[in-house]
Amino acid sequence: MTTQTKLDRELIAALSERAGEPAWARERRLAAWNRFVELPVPAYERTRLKDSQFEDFTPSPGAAPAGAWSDLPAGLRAEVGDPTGRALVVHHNGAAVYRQGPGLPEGVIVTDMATALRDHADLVQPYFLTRGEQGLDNKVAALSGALHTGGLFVYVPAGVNLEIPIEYIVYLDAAGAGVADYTIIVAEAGSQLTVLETAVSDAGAAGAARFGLLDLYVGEGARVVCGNVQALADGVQSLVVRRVVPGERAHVDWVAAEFGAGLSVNEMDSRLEGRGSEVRALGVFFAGGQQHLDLELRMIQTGRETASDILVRGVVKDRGRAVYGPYTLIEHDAKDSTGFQRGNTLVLDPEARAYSIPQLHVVEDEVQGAGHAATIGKMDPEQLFYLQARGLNAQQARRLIVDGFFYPVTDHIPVDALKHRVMSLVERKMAT
Amino acid sequence: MARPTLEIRDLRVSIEGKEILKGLNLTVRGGEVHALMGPNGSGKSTLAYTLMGHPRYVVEDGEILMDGEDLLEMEPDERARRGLFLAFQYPVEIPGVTVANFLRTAYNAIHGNGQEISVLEFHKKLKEEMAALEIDEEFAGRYLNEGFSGGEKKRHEILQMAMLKPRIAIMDETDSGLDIDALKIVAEGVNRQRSDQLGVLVITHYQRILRYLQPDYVHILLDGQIVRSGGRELAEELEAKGYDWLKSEITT
Repeated sequence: MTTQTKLDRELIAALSERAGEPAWARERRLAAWNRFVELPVPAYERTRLKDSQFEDFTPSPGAAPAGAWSDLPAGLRAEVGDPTGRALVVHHNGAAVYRQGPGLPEGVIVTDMATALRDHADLVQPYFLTRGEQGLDNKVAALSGALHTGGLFVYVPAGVNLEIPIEYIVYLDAAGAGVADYTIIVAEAGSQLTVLETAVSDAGAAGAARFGLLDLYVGEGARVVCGNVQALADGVQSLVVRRVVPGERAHVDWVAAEFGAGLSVNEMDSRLEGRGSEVRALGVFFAGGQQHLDLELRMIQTGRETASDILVRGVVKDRGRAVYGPYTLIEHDAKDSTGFQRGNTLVLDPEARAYSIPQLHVVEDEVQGAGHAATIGKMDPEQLFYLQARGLNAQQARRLIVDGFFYPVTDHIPVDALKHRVMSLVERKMAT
Repeated sequence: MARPTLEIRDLRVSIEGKEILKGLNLTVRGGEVHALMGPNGSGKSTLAYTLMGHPRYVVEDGEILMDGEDLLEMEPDERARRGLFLAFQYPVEIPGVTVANFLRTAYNAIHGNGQEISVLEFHKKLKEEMAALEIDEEFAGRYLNEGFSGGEKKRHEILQMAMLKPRIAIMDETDSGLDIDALKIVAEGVNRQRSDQLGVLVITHYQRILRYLQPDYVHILLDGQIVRSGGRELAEELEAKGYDWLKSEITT
């Protein structure tokens, strides 16, 4: 039986206490809590969030640890597929309940945040909730930082190329539960790393809310692929912020795939300070039913010779709503930088709505190139007719056109497993 | 298998309230090649699109039967599955969908019936047909009609025809925009497919392609009606005298 637990300082302190966290971690959680209370509800252009979205849930204590893969819920195992040979951390209703992985190179750490705060406190301390003052903070980030019971700590030492992707599953099946996770990923200079997050839920998770924060630290010359697939059930709310400040000549590939949740805001903030750093954001979204999905991609370029690139494709159908909000700012002194945005949305049904709000601000005069292109269009009836004239029924024709529409993005997804996952979710979405 | 038959009876078709076809009659059987010639605006493409079932064209009256069955009751994809094929005058671009993927999907939609062709078998067949049409192999990996030249688009239509094995094929101005070499390749591609099991309706403005295709019947379409039918010699007479000759003959 669950009882409504009040969200307040005492609860945050108790969470920290129970997890046996060091005092400094508790203080930073409480500082995050203070910011959460002070900060206004984020004013996304086309997504009106209300206070209730930060209140109407019961903070989840998390599920009990699973001893073996077979102890995990069947729905979760079905979504993840065959675990053999994969590096996996599974969260169930807000707690890390299962972890497996083959032997990792010397010095690499992949663990849940609670364990990291106990066993690697010195390593975690410089990164833990320290990004609030860089203009990258907001209410979602602050709440996730204050309340988190789940999350990951990944550390890759300098020069190490971690070939196996680190996969991180967020699974929900408790009605009305509020879960928060905070993940820190540190890729030291010259290292290489791929992290893939999948958020899924059982239909029983109606009214649940997920808050998430991910802080990515990418050292000089390091390369990181950071992908996330959000395929939560329609009754779930998902508010997640991810942020990176790449070092010199570092390269980051964000991949965002938004398919699920009733309401979702996925915000990815990149602050390109390091000279010659590059961030590319690939995004795919597909809103159907009554869903409202918002993909907010921000590139703030302050360093010289930085490059940002945003490439997004999305589909809306039924009464689904989707917002594509890319923002690129090339600051004064960010000489010889480039910043590009391309976004296309396909509207399949008359009551579906798509909003595209691209912003590109170039303050520096000496840039190498900058531009944006955004379109919202309907399916071309001549394309449908051509395919039907070749024997495909209307549904097959629509499916083929949609697959082709997503192709320019899916083709660029740098991890095959992620690419196939995205393509199968498109397929699943077209079938409903 | 019985020879296919396409019967068009007293067909009246309008587009946006304007009548274009005004009582057209034509029968095409397996083993026959019919040429339908007419000047711009006579209703040639309207007939092609109407036969295939384009939603913009409204059939006001008349019948279209394929093997005795009412085509007008069928969606375009059902017509295709019965063996009707339209080689488009303006093939449509579909980005992100490769020729090979598209063709295999179409093949399975038409001939599948639970016995879908294996990927290996399909590619073997595709390779053969592409070689016959002098189409480069890399073509299979390109996106459907995207960035194709005019000639590539037309050859690709004939490739589809070869792969999908229709019973009645309509070629809507397949010759337009082709140089003489491409025209020969396309015509030979069609000639290779000729049999008792295929009836062809070639729609064209010029008689150029007919030199290579050798039609059995020639029909002249003027203002939404077939005004004259005859053998191959009719096309030559038309070429020599021009459409104005017929127009003046009809009005007098």
